[in-house]
Amino acid sequence: MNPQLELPGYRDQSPEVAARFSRLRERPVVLEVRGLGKKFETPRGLITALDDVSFSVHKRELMCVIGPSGCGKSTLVRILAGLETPSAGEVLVHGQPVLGPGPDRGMVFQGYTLFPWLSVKENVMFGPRMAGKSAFSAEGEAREWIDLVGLSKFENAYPHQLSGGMKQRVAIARALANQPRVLFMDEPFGALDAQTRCQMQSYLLDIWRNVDITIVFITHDLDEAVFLSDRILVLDANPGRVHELVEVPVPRPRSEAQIFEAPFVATRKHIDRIMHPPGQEQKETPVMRLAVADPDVV
Amino acid sequence: MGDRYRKSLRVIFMGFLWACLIGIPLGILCGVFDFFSKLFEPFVDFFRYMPAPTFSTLLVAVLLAGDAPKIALVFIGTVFQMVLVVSKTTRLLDPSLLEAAQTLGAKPRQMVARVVIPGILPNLYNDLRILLGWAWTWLVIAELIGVKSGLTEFIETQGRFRNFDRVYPIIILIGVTGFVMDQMLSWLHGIFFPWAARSGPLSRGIVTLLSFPFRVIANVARQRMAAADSLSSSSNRNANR
Ligand SMILES: Nc1ncnc2c1ncn2[C@@H]1O[C@H](COP(=O)(O)OP(=O)(O)OP(=O)(O)O)[C@@H](O)[C@H]1O
Ligand SMILES: [Mg+2]
Repeated sequence: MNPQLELPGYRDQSPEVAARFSRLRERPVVLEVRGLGKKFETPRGLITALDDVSFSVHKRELMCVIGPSGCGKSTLVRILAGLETPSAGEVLVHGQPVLGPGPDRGMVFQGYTLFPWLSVKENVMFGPRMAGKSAFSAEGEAREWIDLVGLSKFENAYPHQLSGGMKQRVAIARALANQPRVLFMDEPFGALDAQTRCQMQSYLLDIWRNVDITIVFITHDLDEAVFLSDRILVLDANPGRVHELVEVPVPRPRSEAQIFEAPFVATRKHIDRIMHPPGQEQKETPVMRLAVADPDVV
Repeated sequence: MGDRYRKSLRVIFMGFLWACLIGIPLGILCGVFDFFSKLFEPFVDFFRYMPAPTFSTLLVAVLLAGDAPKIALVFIGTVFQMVLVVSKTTRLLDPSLLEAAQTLGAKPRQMVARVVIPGILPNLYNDLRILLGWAWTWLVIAELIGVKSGLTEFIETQGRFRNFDRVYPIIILIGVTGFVMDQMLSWLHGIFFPWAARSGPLSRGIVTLLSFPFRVIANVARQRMAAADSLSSSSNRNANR
């Protein structure tokens, strides 16, 4: 073995890291998920997308949910946001059951869902206006949020004039303008190129540091998950179950330099093992080929 | 002649306006709420297949002479199609916009006013342009019922006297009016909905297709005028010699 690859186990936590997580667990629970299950009826039978998922998110935590494609991440976050009804279990936000979509839970979608007929400012004003605030006070608030995501120059632009990264920043500002208790993000940077993506991750951490918000972030990108989160919920596929709740020892504040440090690499490796267990790599490549004809018959 | 032209325009616009006033709200309601869709759409679908002209005698009997039965015919011919087309356009609205609005705290009534209507407006506008093209067909039929009137009456009577050279300009006038109006509306689309600038090669294609007959007529007219011009100029030259 190459001695350079000898890394500390990700659980070899220094006392201060252990103390950090015990402090985190003492904070009040914002979001509690109990025995969540979801089945879809399809023409080909019942699909179990989620099975007995339970976890809780504490105040001002940033939790990532990671798992292979099709394991039910989107389904999970849609249930949390109230856009889908669970088949079993319940979701509590500050002890109150979730019964439908509402402004106490913000959502940033993977696709671009800004209202194309509204300018950046009007998009951000949408939530406060729906809550019955006057145009004047909503505008003032919107300006602050737009300033926070660094798009003051573009407040009068329309979504089709913005780049993908800018659109998602506006989407974040729009969700935050409602001052939700939890912010759900479903692969919000999935459609961006690698460089923009890195920038956006740093932006998100900046925003999260400055705003009192709890975030549940869905991703299938390992580096993104480790870079952003306090804890990572790793899901299994078919059916979607909680495999492990990984505590990320990488200290905050995070910076890109940490990507090459031991705690980061060790955590990354640990999750990689869960998601791609050794021994499964040699699977036959799924290339479709035509059946070979029997020479005697043809 | 200007009088007839104005009268024809009045009939088509009044009929179309009434169709919009009834058809658009119904179409949007059907597109958004299952309840309305189940209530109205079967009924609308049924009426749609009854050719509007079959109502003509009835309309004249009830609404008597004058413009009322004609406006009603344009209305009947357009409104049922309009409900179905508008409800379909409404259903095409990106569902994730509705979801986003709900996570931002919008309630059903706010959603219709703040998301559905502004969201479908550019497509709705194109639908109306296409339906206005149809309305011209109903206008011609409408003007033949009861007391004949407008441009069509002129075409009818002149046609009976075989004065075809007076008929052609009117047909061309109708074609050009429809075409110019459509082009103007199309140009206004870009001004009303700058944010939808890249919307709908499909709708643009449909419009091109539907305006095809008008453009052919306009082309023929242009050629005929050119021919007439060269004829007269050559005869002039002959006379000068
Ligand atoms: N509306 C639906 N009807 C039927 N089946 C569905 C529906 N939505 C999701 N599923 C199924 O549930 C499973 C989980 O889907 P989901 O979209 O939550 O996965 P995901 O983890 O978000 O995947 P990805 O990483 O590709 O986004 C999939 O097998 C999918 O086929
Ligand atoms: Mg997904």
